[in-house]
Amino acid sequence: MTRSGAREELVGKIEALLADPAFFKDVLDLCTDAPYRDVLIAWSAVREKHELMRDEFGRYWIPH
Amino acid sequence: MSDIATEDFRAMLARMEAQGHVTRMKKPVKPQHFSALCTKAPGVLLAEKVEGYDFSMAGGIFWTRARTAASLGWPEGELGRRFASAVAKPIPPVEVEDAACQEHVFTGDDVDLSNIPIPFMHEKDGGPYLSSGIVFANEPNVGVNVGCYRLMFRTRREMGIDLFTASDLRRIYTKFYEQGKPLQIAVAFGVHAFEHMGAAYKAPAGVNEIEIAGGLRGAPTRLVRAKTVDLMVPADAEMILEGELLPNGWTADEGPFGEFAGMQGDLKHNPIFRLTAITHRRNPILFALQMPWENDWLNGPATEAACMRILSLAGIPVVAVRATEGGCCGWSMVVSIRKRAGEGKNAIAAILSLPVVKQVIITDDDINIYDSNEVEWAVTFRCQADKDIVILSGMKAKHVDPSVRPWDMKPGELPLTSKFGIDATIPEGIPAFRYERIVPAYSDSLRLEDYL
Repeated sequence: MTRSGAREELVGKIEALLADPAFFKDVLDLCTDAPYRDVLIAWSAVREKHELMRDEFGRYWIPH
Repeated sequence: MSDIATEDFRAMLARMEAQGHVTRMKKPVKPQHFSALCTKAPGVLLAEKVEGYDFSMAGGIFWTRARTAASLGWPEGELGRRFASAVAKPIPPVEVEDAACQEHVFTGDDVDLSNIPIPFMHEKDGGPYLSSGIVFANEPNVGVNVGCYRLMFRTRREMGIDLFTASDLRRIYTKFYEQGKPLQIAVAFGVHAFEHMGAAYKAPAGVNEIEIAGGLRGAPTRLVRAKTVDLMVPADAEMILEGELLPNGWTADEGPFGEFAGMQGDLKHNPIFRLTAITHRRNPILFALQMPWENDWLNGPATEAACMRILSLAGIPVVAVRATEGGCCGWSMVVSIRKRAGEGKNAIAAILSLPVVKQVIITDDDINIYDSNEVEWAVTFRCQADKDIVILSGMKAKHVDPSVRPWDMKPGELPLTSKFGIDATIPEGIPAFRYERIVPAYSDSLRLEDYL
């Protein structure tokens, strides 16, 4: 898989995780095999694509 | 001029390493693992390699009073006194043309925060954080303001900045926000302890914190013109972020983040910092300031100095001042004075008027305030609770203190708190001989070694 393909896959994994409320640490735990920089890039892409919601504990989710 | 007066961040680290304060990590570390390792290190932690990045990373420089003193090259017991002396003698910065902080310059489409190993620090944080930034901003008709603010990674070109509580930067930003204009800022990382402490000092508006840093340093701080904003920045810093605070107001989610009071803190809504440039040195060292103690110890000496100053204004002879670690190096103070009648209570009233201080113990000058057992002894035997504990209500507080129940407040409402002081000086009317200490007979003339 290409680097950009791997990053797109990360975006998809994060989007799936955020179907329910999750902490940022859950995002990191989901992406343990990916380089940290790729996680930041994927997180940036998720942020730009969606208006992320937050709950009072600081968890993120993507509204359906 | 001493050698320390001309040090930059990496020279300070090298000197601390030569003095035995630094632990080096040879193996590459993941950015999200650095904070946990810092708490387990016996000294300042220096990661030579960060996995996937061309940065090294340092943390824990100001974790204790001893390390803070070492970073400044000052004796531990002198922090407050030396800080007060430096504040009284500010030194203006000098402008230079070439700067190490601009050895690499990234602008336009090359600005990408993912190229910086921004560490994820605490379990419940809202994202990776740059915790050691010193923010420079220009207030029209007033001058430059410098202060310490945290930045949360949002996207490759945007960060959240915490302007929730009252601060000079919040006031300046509010003026621009009300006009719908962005505010240019520059953020310096990896500056010497002198600049960090100057920036952490709550200087009155119009007082340039970089001149205070010069006073602490005993020499001018070197500044260079930033590349994309109309600001001067520390020439010897490891890294500079340039950009503008968008006029979006308090709308973008930011936090939670491990706060200076040692608690996780709340989700907040804050302005957005959009970058226009990243500049850094060759082989940059990212200073990952560790919460809460590094934040707290950067403020401790300034609070000790403020106590000395306010007691001096009240005409009370102060002997020593200690910001305690349990009180996050500023919320709880212990002070020894050379008391005249009534001055134990006067000292309490003066010190509790400082916004940050929530509790204070006043002792006589025969008490070593750096020994908690001695302080407790004084409280136990020199204090009558119904006469010597002073409680003041309805005073200015901070949202970070859960005991003020900030969640019950209306938006924009500022919290109030009660404060207390303990007068542990010898009560008026009790002669000093009633407190005469036990002295073992012949202790001056006998040596244990002679009997071993």
